[in-house]
Amino acid sequence: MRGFELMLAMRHLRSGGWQTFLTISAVASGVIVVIFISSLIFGVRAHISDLLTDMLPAVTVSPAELKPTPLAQTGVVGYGLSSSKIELQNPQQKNIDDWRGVAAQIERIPGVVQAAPVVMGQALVARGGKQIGVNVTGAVPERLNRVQRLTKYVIAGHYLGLASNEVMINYKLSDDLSVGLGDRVLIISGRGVSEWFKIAAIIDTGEDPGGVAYLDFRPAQNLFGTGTGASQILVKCDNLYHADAVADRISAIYPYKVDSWSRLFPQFVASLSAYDAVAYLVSAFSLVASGFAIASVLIVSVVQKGKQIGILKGIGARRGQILKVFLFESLCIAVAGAALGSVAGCTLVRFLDRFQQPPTHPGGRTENLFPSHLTWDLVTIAMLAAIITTVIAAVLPARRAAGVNPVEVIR
Amino acid sequence: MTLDYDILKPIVETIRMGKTYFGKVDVDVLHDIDFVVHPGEFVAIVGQSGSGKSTLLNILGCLDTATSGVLRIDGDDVSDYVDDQLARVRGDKIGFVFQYHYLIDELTCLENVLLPVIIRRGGVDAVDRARVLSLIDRVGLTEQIHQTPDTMSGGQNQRCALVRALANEPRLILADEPTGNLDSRSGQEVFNLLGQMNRETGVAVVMVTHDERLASAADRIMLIEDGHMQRIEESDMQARSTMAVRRG
Repeated sequence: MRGFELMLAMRHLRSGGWQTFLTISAVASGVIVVIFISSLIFGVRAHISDLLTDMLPAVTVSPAELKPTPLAQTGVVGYGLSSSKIELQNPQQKNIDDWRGVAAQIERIPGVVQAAPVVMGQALVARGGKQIGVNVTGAVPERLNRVQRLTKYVIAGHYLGLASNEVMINYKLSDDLSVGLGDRVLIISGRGVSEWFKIAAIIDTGEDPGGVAYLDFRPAQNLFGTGTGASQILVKCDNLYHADAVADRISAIYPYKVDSWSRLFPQFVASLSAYDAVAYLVSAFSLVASGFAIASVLIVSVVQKGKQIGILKGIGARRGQILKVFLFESLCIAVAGAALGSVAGCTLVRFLDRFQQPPTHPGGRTENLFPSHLTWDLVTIAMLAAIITTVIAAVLPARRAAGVNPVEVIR
Repeated sequence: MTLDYDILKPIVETIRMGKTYFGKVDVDVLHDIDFVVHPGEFVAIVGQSGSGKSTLLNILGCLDTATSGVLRIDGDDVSDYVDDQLARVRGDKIGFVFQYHYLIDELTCLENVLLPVIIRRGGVDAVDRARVLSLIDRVGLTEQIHQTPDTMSGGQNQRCALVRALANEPRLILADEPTGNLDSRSGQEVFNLLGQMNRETGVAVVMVTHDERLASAADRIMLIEDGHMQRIEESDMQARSTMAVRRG
């Protein structure tokens, strides 16, 4: 038999019966709340950031708009007359001609996952007597899919491997035109170029207010007359928050207009940060609340064990040894509670994952009713935080136990 | 002739030791106690309730501290020792037997008995175990070593507490009415065992008791009255108790 502190702590817990069970349950409840609430909040956050990253590129590279220059500054001799009113030129179609080189260079920047050159423009999609305006995106499907996870939202057909005479349209457009897979539609660009395409896929992101059509890169170039150029390069980053740094690097290399999602939509950054703050606050309050519960139960235990502490001191136990008994006791409670709480918390989250929202239309995507984001990191942090909180909560009762005057309790 | 120095050196020595409880009204409990106990002695302390017997025993056992004077345990002045130093002295040199056994309910008889050894040395070796098992055998608890206190009789628990007091081979046993909670037969058994251990191991025993018969079996009887201590003879004690009975 070596060391009495752990042995006595274990015996206290065993003889504690319901009291021990309730204390372990208090810790477990804290862990369940932390895992459950945090995974839900992080789930909603992940849902929002997924929507952002799935459909929005982290960085968009497009040709810079020409800035007007006063004639006086052009250096052209003989222009005595010049207007003092400077106006922007009408938008002119500019392209990134060396998109291969630019995309390859961008992909070498740390934090960049994929750069996808695209041709974008507006067009009319006609079927029978109906014509509907759409935004057309032409890109190599495999490359664009790595920037915007389009295949995740495809509800019928296939996007990857889209042939040059095929198109993917969104559900709203298919509904408005009353078309389905295999039907052919006529796409007419603003330049008057028109081509027939077979519908190979239908996509439903649930976010598109109007018509959207996706083509392969080459037919889009033909439709919009970009020649061999691309109208934009869309960039995917490994981390949502690396977009600004990547955008700055690209700006430093190329004279293009470079926008990051976080600069275009700062309100999203603020709301994501708010979700983080709420998750951390709720977790902290839950742990503090369970810490108080544990401290109060342990104080009761110290009072109950007063005579025993007195006799231990009477037979030579030192303050540190008594302190250890109660800290070991709280550590055992903490570990058991954290383990129990993590299992129960994960089970609860997994159970709620089974509930799905009904799709908005037949064949539409289903979403989780309770979007959750459960990771091993979250479970580990919740367990460690609960263990640390419990042990800290036990320090005061343990110190009180160590300070018991044996004369006062042994009478 | 050679003298054993340890026999000459007192195990307990107090010099003008006093104890005052400070409060709204200060209460002097012990006054100028000069008291010496040598190894192997069996000293009984008698006195009326509230006379200061238990306070003296607590101070001698380093459970409490004096407010004046000097206390030496085995030659060391412990008057200014702090909590953990006093705990070491208790663990190394002193064994306690209280009126109530104060065994730990969650531990078995054997674990209770080994507890002071583990507290003192952090573990138990084969020699410790053999010594303790031999003591358990001496007090007739071999059959009960795996029983918890709630399954043993009062006399068995008090015998177990006696073995626990002896587990670390202390120089001094302090017993505060060790038979007070027992029936006369069990009480006599415990007292006899205390006496045997005193004679066989040379451990000094200081016992507080109200029982004249037990006190009269001690080597020396000390009377505490109003915080003052004096030695009395057996005949004096009998005379005092007779007077007390007449007054009563």
